[in-house]
Amino acid sequence: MYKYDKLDRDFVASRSAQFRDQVNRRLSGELSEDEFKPLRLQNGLYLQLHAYMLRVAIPYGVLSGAQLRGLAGIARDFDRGFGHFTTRQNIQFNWIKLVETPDILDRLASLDMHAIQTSGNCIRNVTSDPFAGAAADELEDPRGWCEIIRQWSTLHPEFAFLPRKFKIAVSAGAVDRAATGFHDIGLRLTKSISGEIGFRVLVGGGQGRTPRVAQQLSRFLPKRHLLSYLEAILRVYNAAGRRDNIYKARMKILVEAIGIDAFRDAVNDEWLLIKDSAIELHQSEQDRILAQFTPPTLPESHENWSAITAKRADDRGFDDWVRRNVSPHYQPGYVNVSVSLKSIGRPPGDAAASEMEAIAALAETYGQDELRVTYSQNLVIPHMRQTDLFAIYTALAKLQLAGGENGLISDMIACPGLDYCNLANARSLPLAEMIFQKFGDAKTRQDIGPIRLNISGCINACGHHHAADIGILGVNKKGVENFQITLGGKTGEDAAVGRILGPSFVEADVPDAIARIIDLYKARRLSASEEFADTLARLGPASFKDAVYETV
Amino acid sequence: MTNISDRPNAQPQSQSQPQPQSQPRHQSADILITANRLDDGSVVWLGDDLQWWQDRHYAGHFDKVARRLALAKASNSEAANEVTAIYEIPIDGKADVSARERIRALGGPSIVPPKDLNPT
Amino acid sequence: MKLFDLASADLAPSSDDAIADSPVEFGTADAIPPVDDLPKDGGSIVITFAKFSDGRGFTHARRLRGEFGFTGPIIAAEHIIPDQADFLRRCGFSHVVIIDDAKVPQWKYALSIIPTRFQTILDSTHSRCLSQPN
Repeated sequence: MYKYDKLDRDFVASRSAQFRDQVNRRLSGELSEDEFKPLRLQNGLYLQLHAYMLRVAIPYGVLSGAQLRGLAGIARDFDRGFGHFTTRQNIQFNWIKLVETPDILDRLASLDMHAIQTSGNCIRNVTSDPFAGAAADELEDPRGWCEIIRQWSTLHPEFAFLPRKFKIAVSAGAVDRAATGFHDIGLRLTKSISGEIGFRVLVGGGQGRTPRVAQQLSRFLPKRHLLSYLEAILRVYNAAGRRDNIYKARMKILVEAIGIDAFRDAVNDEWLLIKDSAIELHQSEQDRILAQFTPPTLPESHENWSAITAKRADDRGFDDWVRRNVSPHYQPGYVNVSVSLKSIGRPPGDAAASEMEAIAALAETYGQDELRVTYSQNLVIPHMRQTDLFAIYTALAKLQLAGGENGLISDMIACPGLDYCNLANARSLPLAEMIFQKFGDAKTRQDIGPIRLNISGCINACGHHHAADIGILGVNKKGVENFQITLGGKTGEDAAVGRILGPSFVEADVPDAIARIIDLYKARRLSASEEFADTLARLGPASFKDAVYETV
Repeated sequence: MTNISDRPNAQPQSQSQPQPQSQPRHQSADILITANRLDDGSVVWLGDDLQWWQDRHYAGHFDKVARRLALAKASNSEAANEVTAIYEIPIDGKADVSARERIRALGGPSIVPPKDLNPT
Repeated sequence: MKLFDLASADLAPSSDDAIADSPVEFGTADAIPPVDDLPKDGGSIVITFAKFSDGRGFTHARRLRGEFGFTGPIIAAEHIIPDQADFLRRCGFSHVVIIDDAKVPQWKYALSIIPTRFQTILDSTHSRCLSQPN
């Protein structure tokens, strides 16, 4: 992973000093709230329902054991002993005081971390596949390019005040695990006809009020042109994006308004003017950054799946966990382990400080002291030995973190919702709990199989409900929390936005509605191995609508 | 701070007024005045004594006459960098008992977050 | 009203006041005037920010320096805050209009606080991209 040097450390330390000065000027009144708000947002600090919330950047989801321990320390010393991992691979703390934030940023700087540009109308955390650099199906490790884009976009002087937030994702796997289709810019590493590796460029995706799947801007962009091309896209957006209406200010609206072809022409016209003069990374700097992502030297290790067969037969929980939470690795003898932060009584994606420390210890003991945050609000420990699986599972089970929930109905993505968020219409967390309870039996969940159920507390869609097999959206119906159900959303190469099923439900009725959807799926699937998404595609949403509403 | 295990649809105990749902909504409904403290973000309500309170039980109800002074006090407080994000809540049986305001009054989420086993 | 010189990080000497005489002026919400209407022979351009969060001003300045090859003074005016100083300078603004002298220390501080820049725009000496790794 990328290791800070003195320049990087000086940078985050000085950024923290800058924010301390800005906070002091706000408290003295020298800066008004209007002037201060964009400045604090560009350091990830929101004013939420009960307190300030700080969103700390975890660049493309990668962190070391020491950094995860450091975040645990921040949760303990400055917050209420827990944190929340997000769909953009960041972490959020909900009980922050403005006056303590400069100290928190200093603490983060000492960990080689920061909260720069995790909010505000600027380029946000670049996200990627949580298995990047460890997956079995990857063209090459995309994280070096994520780091290059991160540095290019950090305090970029031209793009600090965009019309709206800007999100970039990069993937390199045969399966797109970074939801690039739902980003302002999605980059997919790809091979040209001549065998050169470069980027397929997608633009104009996003969630929110007007969800859109990204469209192809360029089929193949050579790596050497990446930064100048990004510069051209951002400049077109900065100049032409709407600034009169925040609901129409995202790049997806601009792309749709002028059409992808006209947008491409505008980007190409700009790019031709700047491609030789704009920032292109010097080869030595590019080499320096990419060199930090060479694969770790993993000692040879032989697989022995039969050794755990007996244990799996004896221990249903271990069997489930191996089936769901262990993913393939590029090197024989190695696997990647998912730690599900999804369990009854746990808000999805939340971890206590002590849990973070324990998981960090596992990465240090059994892995390469590296962890990943996932789009689905879980953690991944890459580079684990297959032969250590039972020991790892046993250690996780002691922590009650050994649920084999990866990809199941229990693996819900849920935004913090009205329990924490100023923007929300409804609470997502109690509903997530009710749905988990409804499918409380592990055998039932395993039998239902892979299914993505996401909950958003409002139309800003931070829970990514548009991209879920079953999406749930909180709405405000005359002051009462109500929930709409959508079906058929997808991430990946065939990304799609889900469609509303019918009238909304009060909270108490949602779990039964979900159960009726699941019952129909189980009744009509061709076999136990036909996944929900395929049954839905085959039957169409009308059958599910009938099933859900007929007894209402 | 109120007990965070209270369900948010419980009425604040010390309200002496009749059940809000039975009151018709008037344009001239009394209002609550609320904000966030600037330094720590905590939710506060302006009391009858024109001081800020962290407990909604002490929130003042301001009629058309009383609110002019109260809003002026709130505005001065903002100018003095004590509070931010001031807004009014009409006491109309809808806004004041909305899910949002019940949770703000609770002072915390309606669920239980994970517990740190090694607190300092 | 005074001009603050972003390159020297100080108020411009009063002898520079003429810089702002009869400039070509347009707003962040406007398009850059046609090239024939741009000043020649050392004349200056003033870009007025309707809101400090209107980032189009930064693109205007970069385009003027880049595609248009403009070399005269570019002055930022109206709604700007000291915290934008380094962004303004690196995008090609040469001066800022300052109403209140008391803000000058903030503008100086803002220009010096961040020692490293990740991009190579207009500031090679501090650019990370050209630095030797430690």
